[in-house]
Parts: sequence; structure tokens; C-alpha cells
Amino acid sequence: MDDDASHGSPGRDLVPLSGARVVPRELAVAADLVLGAGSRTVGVALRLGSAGVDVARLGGRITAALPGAGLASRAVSAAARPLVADGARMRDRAVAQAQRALEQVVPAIVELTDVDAIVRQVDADAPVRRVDADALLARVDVDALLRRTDVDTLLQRVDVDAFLAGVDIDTVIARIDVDAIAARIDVNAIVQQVDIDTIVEQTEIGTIVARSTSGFASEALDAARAQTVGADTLVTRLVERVMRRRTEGPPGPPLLVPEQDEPPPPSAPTSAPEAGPPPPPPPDAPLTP
Amino acid sequence: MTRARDALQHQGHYAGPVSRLLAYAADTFFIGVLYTAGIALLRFAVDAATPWTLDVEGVVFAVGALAWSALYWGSSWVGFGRSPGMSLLGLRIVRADGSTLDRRHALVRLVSYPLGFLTLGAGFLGIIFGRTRQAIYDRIADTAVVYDWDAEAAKLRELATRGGQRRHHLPS
Repeated sequence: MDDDASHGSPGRDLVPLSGARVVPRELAVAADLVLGAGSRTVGVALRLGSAGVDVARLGGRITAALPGAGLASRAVSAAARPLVADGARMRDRAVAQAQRALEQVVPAIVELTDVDAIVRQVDADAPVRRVDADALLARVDVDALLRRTDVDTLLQRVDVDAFLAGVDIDTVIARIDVDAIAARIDVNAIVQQVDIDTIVEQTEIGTIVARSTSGFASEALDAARAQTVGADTLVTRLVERVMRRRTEGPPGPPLLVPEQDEPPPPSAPTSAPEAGPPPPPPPDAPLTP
Repeated sequence: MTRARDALQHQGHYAGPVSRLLAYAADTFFIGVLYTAGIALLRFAVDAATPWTLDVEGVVFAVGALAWSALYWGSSWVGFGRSPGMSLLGLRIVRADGSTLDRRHALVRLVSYPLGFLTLGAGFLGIIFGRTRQAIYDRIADTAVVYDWDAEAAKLRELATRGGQRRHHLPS
């Protein structure tokens, strides 16, 4: 018997027989000898017993066919009853002894077992590879699962503070390319949306502007000029109504007022003589003040 | 009430008759005050420094007034493109196309300026009824008068003052 082969390599022993807590080798060999002899004996006994049972069963059938067999059978039964009882007691005792032996042997076996080695030999991926994940997921009703999920309770159990405490904000910020973000911002568009008038009117900036630039004279002058412009506009409208002008004149010199503010020339080279009223301005043309 | 915000939209537009009349009135007032004060100072100086007495009356006074007026308007138009009265009302003289008034056109305007009066006021009617608000001397000199003051600053001043008053009246 090759001991090395039977024990396997040192790294793969499921029940290692070497080490401080293991039975000595001589004792193990002796135990193997006893167990081998016992197993042979039991095997022979079982085969003999089986043959005896067959012979007894045949003898019983022959005996039962003889006259007076019933009486003899009862007599035999009465005589065998004490023997049967003794046999039952011995069987119970043997079972109890075997139970006690197992209770002592199994913990020792468990203690001697290298579970890590067993786990190492198990190919955990093999069962996973045999699982058809798509078919499995197809049978899962995600909607029903979500309906049964109490999201509020789930969120209440999330410790946001602990999560945030684990986030290194400095590292996150250091990884942000601020220049790239700033390059994508249209500052001109933002500035065009700023209502300077509202800022001046509703903030202290307006007060600063007023205190630094205005006095009584300038405010009076601003008011007088604005009032005069209003009076001019009033007179102009009155005159246009009296003179029944249908079109307004240019609001100002062409270099100071945009071209589109002026009405179209009355004799344009491309216009037909019977042309009607001038066409309306384009929709994107600014309004004439 | 016309606010400065609305007046801002009229910057660069032809000035109307009310503004120009008030500017002319202010200039006339300045001319009169300065001329009278100048004559008084000159008379005081002659009386004090010489044995003679300066009497500026009648034709001499009128001719002196005309000369002083021409000097007043001519120097201000040539030098600044506007008279002091125009500055007060926020007006400016420009070329008809809107470009800056040059010396030659300012002098032409000064020379033709009396035509407004010599026509018994008819020369001024263009300011009221003309599409470009040009008087006869503007047409001759190819000039125009437009609104031109810092209306943006005026608007900000008005907004700041109104906002400050509103905050002042708010309960604390």
C-alpha cells in the first residue's frame, strides 16, 4: 500500500494524517488492519447469514407442508420468543454503542477536515456557468418587485452623512477642469440677460451711483431734458395729425439712427410705378423708437 | 411724465421745436446777461481809469449786442458744436448726415442764422413742420440739431433715486 498515494500531496489532504493533533502513523496502520479484518469478517458473515436465511425459508416451507405443522410452528414460536427478545435487546445495545462511537468520531473527523482545501477544490464558476441568467431574469417581474419596494423606508435607512463623510471633496474638485467648463460658457449671452436697470433700481449699487454722480442740479437737468423731449414728441404728433401725414419722417440723421429706421425711399429704382404701399418691415427688424 | 428711460430712446434723433426754443431762450438770456454785465464792467473800468465816460446806447448798443451774439454763437458752435443753451437742453449741432460739425459749416450756419429773423420767423417754420426739423439756416449750412446728452447716466440716476426712495419708505 502506497502511503503517499493514499494520503495525497501535502497541500491537498482533506483529512491530513500528519501534524500535532493527528493520530500517530503506527496507530493509524493498526486501525486500518482492524477495520480491514472486521470488514472482511462482516462480509463473510453477511453472506453466510444470507445463505442461512434462504435455507431456513426453504425449510419453513417444507415444514409447513407436513401434517401437524401448525402445532409444531406454535411450539417453535413459543420456544423462540425469549431468543427473539434477547436478540432485540442486543440490537438496541449495539445501535446505542454505534451512536456513541459516531458521536466521538464525527467531531474528530470534522476537526481534522481542512475545509479550505475542500473549498479550493470546488469550482464555484461551474454552477454559475450552467445558469441561464437571461431566462432567470426573464421570469422576474421587476415592476411587481418595485411596487413591493418601500423606497422611502429604503432611503431613510441610507446614512447620507456617512456617505458624504467618505467623499473626498478636494480630490473631486481637483479632478474638475474648470477652464474647460468656463470655455463652454457663453459669457456674452449671460451678460445680455442681465437687467442692469433692475440691478441699479433694486440694489445698493443704485444708491452708490446716485450719490457719486448726481446732485440736485443734474437731477433737475435730467428731469427738464426728459420733459422737453416729451413736449417735442407731443408737438410733433400734433403737427403730423394737422398735416395728415401718413408716413413719419426719419427720426434722425442716417449716421446717428440706423438705416432700417428710415421709411423706404419714395422712388426706388426697382419699384413699379403702380406699386402700392411699402412692404412691411422684416420680422426681425428692430422697432423704431 | 416722460422719464429719462424714455428719453434715452430719442438720443440722436432730430430735436423738436420746444427744446430748440428753450435753448434759444437760454442762449438769449446768457447773451443779455453777459453783454449787460460786460458793458457795465467796461463802463466802470473806463470811468475809473480814464477821464472819459463810456456811453453805449442806441445803435452802438445794438451793434455791440449783435457782435457779441455772433461771437457767442460762433465761438461755441465752432469750438463745441453747441451753444451753452443747447448744452443745457442736451442738444448738439451736427452735419445733416449726422457727422461732426466742422468749422466751415459752423460759420456758414452763423452767417445764415439771421435769415430766420429776416424772414419774419418763416425761416424757423421748418423746425416745426419739416421732417428733419431743419430751419432755413440749417438747410443752407447742411446742418441739423439732435438730442445728445448722457441719457444713459440720467436713466441710471433716475432709477437709483427711485429705488432708494422705495427702500427708504419700506418698513424695517
